[in-house]
Amino acid sequence: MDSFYNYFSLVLFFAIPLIMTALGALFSERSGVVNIAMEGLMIVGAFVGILFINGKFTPGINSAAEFTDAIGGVAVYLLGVLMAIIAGILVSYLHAVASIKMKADQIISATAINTLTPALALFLTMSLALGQSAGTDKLPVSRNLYLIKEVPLLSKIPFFGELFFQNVYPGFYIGVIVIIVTYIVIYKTKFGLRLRACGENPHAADAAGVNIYKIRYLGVLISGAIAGASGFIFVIGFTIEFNASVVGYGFLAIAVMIFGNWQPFKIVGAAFLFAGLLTLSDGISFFPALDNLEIPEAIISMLPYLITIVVLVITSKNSRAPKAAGQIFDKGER
Amino acid sequence: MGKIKQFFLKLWKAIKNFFVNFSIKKVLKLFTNTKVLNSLAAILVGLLVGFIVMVFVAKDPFTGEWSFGTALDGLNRLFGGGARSPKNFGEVLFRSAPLILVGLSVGFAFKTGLFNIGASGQFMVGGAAALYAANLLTLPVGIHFAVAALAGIIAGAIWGFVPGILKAVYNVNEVITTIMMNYVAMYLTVMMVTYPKVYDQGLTAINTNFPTAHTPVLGLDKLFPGSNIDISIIIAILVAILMWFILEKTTLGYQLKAVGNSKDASKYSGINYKKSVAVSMMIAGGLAGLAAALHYLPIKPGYFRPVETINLIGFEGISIALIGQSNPLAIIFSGTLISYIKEGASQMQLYGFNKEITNIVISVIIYMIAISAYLGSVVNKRKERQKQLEEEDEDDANRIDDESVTKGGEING
Repeated sequence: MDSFYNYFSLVLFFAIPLIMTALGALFSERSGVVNIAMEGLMIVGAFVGILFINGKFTPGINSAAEFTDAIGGVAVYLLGVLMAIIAGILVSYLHAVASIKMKADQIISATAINTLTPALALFLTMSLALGQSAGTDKLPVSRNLYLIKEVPLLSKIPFFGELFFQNVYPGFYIGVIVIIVTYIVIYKTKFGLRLRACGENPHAADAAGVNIYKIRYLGVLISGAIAGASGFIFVIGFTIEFNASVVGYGFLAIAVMIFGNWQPFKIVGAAFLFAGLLTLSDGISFFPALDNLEIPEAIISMLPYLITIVVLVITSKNSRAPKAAGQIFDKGER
Repeated sequence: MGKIKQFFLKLWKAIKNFFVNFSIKKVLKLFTNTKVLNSLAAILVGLLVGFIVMVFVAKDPFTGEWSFGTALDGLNRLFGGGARSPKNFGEVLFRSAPLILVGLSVGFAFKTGLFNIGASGQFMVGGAAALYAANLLTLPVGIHFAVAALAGIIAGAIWGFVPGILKAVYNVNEVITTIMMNYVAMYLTVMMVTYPKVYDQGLTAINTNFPTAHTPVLGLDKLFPGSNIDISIIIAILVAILMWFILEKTTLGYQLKAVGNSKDASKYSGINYKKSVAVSMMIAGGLAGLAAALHYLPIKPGYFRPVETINLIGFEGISIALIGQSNPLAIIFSGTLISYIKEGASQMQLYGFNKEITNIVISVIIYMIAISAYLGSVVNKRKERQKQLEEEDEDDANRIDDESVTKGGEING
């Protein structure tokens, strides 16, 4: 039981940022705008959020520890997420303007963002000496300050209490909220219906009186907000120094979104499957039977990617992207 | 065999025509082409933004205070650093060869409507294969290089073929398969590097001591003394011309582009869609594999280390392809441009500027190119409106003149 618990908590750890980012991309794609800028948006969210929690925006506070002492770890974390969201929205606006208003190729402006954000983050860190010492391009992350040791009452629930309510980052709960809200917004609200219509048949939606441009703007900005937050959550959970990279998670999330067939719950399932396999290489010691086979580590590490490809081949017949994704909407064109 | 002969005859004819019909007028016409002008304007804006960023962070290297002069020095290096001496320019050309080829890899797939994010993975396996061939075979000089490069091409082509065939037969989105193949390539090559027969403990990389397999220099170092230049840049340019030829002058290229323009229309017109997709991805992979061979085989090679990170060159390839707007000939220039800016940026570090400025400039260039068509149309519309207004003004003025004439007449009368 113990090994399963360890394994599962690691899987959760990997899966939450993947799910969040994939759901973010979903909002954009479902509105008809392909957004491969998720990687760049995650980076900018993490960068701004970490600067904030390290006290760079607040006069009088010089370190992360001072900040948490002043208002508490969870509050700092949540404010950091807020900053990350704002940063994500601002940068995704660049993508929205280019791809919606200026009718540019959606891959091009997204690539620009992916190139810009890590460069800008590294450049600013170095030039303005934002790291621990001058000349370093890494930002320190004191992640233990933000860990919730246990949630009162709930942590007493057998098994689940230990899994979900002890030693977790607040980001975990944000992730759960994002999953539920995404499902409700996309399937149960007027906005969600319009969003889906924009991605499937924008001309029909336009004829029905929907403002395509507005919906698409919202779709892209929401994706930016979620990507920013998940970048922050991802980096806080995984590392003690941030060097302007989310190690390809943004791209993996897009893969997970396609794997999940552009549907929220399938994305969650796909992310868990993927994270489960991904964790296998780190967590193989949890499974003595597998560990004893002595399969080379590199091969186990390859498995998640290979299995994803195989699953895609099997399920590809049902795969359906939003019809208008990637297409430029022009009111005058029929 | 006849087909191949025909292909080369055609290629020869095209090259001959190019030189026979070459004229300065044509070149000038090329530079007044809106697409080219847009790209040039985008590049200027990118460098300008780079300069503005530099102004903000410029510090005098001695006093440590803000200084505009330092920013100008930095700009000077960014703009002119690549051409300060034959050595620098030789270095720019040397570094540009793999960039051009990776750009071609992404651009070629773009032409068929495919998005090859997997150039990184194709590059990694291509590099490992080329280094294996360089280390494990014993062959005469020249031939050994060719064989090693071919090994790189084949490995890259296989890595591109897999996503291609999966897309063609099972309709699996190539974006996701190429991303997955990148990771598989990463773990595979990490395993391959540490194979004892090719691994160099001292370098912690694949052994680079393979005298017969190095890229031939062919006396080019006489032209650019002190630089590491070799024939890789010539290979890259020739391959770019070949890709242009395939896309523009052959049936295969026509089919590939038709598939890129409209999958359904190409199917109805009898083009073999599946074959086109698979072939296109295979060629794209081969190009990335060749890029890796040219990166790892020179006398001063890149080191192939067992690190679990994805080589970012594939993403640079996306930038290069986009700046060159997927035109193989334009990609020669965009690849060289990126290499040129990189060289300038590395010299800028003398003045305390971080070399990340390269990517800031590149991203602005890409963004400007993305929106250039829109900006261009806005400018044109405004011009047209102004013309219209002016014409209306003239009409009004004429009318007034007419009226005053008639009025004058009345008074006179």
